[in-house]
Amino acid sequence: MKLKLGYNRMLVIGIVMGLLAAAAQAYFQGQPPVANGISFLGHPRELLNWIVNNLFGANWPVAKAFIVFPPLTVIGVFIGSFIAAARNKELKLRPGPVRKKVLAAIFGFLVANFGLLWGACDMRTALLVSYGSVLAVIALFCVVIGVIVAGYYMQFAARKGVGQ
Amino acid sequence: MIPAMATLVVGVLIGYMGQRSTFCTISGIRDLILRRNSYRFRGLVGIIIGGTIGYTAFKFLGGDIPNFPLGMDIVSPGILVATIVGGLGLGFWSVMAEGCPYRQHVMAAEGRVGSMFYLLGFYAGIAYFFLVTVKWLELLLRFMR
Repeated sequence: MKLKLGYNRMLVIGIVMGLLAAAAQAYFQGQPPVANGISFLGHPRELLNWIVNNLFGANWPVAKAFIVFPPLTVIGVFIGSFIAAARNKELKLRPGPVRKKVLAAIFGFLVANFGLLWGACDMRTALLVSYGSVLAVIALFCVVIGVIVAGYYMQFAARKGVGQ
Repeated sequence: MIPAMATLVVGVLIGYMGQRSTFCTISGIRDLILRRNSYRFRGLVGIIIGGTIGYTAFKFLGGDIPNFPLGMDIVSPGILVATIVGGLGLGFWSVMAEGCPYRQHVMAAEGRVGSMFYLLGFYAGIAYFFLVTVKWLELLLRFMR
């Protein structure tokens, strides 16, 4: 199966993702919290907390919808991406995107902590914007500012020859 | 069981689509601003459009869409500060990592070693947040009340 959606492929995929997230909440009990159909901070957090609670008897917070069974979005994405990569002969071990492994891990650590401080990843932030949240609009604006600052920093660093 | 299975199905679908399209909201914003290339940015716009259509339509069709639209949900100054700092950090460090958390999951499944290490740090970061960061935040919020 090949996705051939032409010039607006990305827009169509985004719309499909938004509709899937809304359907997951509306008809498959994927809440509370609201606008949580797709989240790459919320769902990994729920999954990790669920595992820790069940393995070590801890009491880390888990959303009401996922107390009995955890969200499996992350597992699904691994399966879907793996199948897509394998079918298209793109499945192989290779370096990057960040070549220094320790640095990549540090970036992941920081993204998790800053994201949880706000409470959502960029995708769920977009979903919350469509849900009409004023706080999410502010958060998305701040994400854009953060992206701009980092983009110009990387350009500056590249010009000065500073390694990543 | 139903929410877990729904998230699994949604995950497989968006995983497949994400791998074929290199979908990434952070890279979309970055490409638009720094390279004047709107290709990936349309994904972010698409999510907002799809979400708006979905939540509105499903609400009218009797789906479980409470408190829609959310409106003014800033409950305290502390939450606002956390949102601003968190949003800025999320955007900045995601660009440094060359992709949003979703894209990193997709790239790790493709075999990108950097993304695998990113995810190690990412899940360690989530654990650290609940063990340490939350306690600092509680202290801070107490002072800001």
